[in-house]
Amino acid sequence: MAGLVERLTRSVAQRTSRRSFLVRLGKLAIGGAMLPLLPIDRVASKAHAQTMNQGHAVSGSGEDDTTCDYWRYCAFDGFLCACCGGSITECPAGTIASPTAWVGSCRHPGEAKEYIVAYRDCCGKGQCNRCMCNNNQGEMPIYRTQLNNDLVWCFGAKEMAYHCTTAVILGQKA
Amino acid sequence: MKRLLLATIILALAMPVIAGAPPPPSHQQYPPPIQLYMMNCWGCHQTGGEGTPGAVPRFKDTVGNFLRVPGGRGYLVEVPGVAGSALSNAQIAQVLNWLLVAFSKPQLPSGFKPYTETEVALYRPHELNDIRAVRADLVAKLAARGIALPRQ
Repeated sequence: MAGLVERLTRSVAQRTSRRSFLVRLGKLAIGGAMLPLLPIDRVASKAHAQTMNQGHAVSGSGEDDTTCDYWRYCAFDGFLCACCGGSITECPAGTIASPTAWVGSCRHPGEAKEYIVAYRDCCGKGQCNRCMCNNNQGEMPIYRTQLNNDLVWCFGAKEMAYHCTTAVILGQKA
Repeated sequence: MKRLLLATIILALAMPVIAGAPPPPSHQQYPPPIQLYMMNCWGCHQTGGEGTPGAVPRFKDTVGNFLRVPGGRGYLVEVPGVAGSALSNAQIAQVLNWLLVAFSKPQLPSGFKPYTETEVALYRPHELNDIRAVRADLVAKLAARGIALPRQ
């Protein structure tokens, strides 16, 4: 076993240099650091929406704002700030509320009224990875960017890294 | 005047949302032009039309100036956020007429004529291939008249 390891080590050492290893390591590190800065990073997360829920049921009562089926999240796409140390209206400590927000409208189940909801991203910190919800009611394709929620809506903020999203009611739809 | 007053009151009520204070569930109903603004423009241009420096153009005390120079009236319809929106031509006319008065009344030229659905239909298909150059040209025309506007 020790001989095999030695042969492998020597083989690798003959084909590579320490510098090339460091270059590759550096590329990996920079690439990893850049990933949260990419403008669209929620698409990949959608496949993991169920598994990333970390203890919170995807199908809840519709009254718990840490579950995806809470009525105000009908057009939500991202991680719930209510699960990430913030609340449904407030960003977690260490993040910055984006000056821009995606706007949708949701029907309140009890009142049977439609409300205008602002989905504002909290930025400046890596993904929260808790309570990923992907409801997207009323969303348009990516080429209609102002009505697409796959985008990270951190533009205008100092940092583009996406952490989570809040859902604030702006008013009642006439 | 009543309309402007109503808009001011509504915008003032919405201010805590911008300031980040957790608002109670609001039952505020908006008149149609304001609702169009809230649903389609507010997310970027913000409650008072402040925009975001370097990212989103400002409306407040600014946007009405574009109607003072040739090409400016069409520009406000041709910009991608308006021309490419999901709004009908009539809705675009409605929301533009509202925001011009609500955010930038003092800057409007005397004898301001509101946009019509037909006029929006005329401008809307014209694509701005180089929006920065078009804006820079309009800003230069305004500067020649002593009106300073941000380049973005």
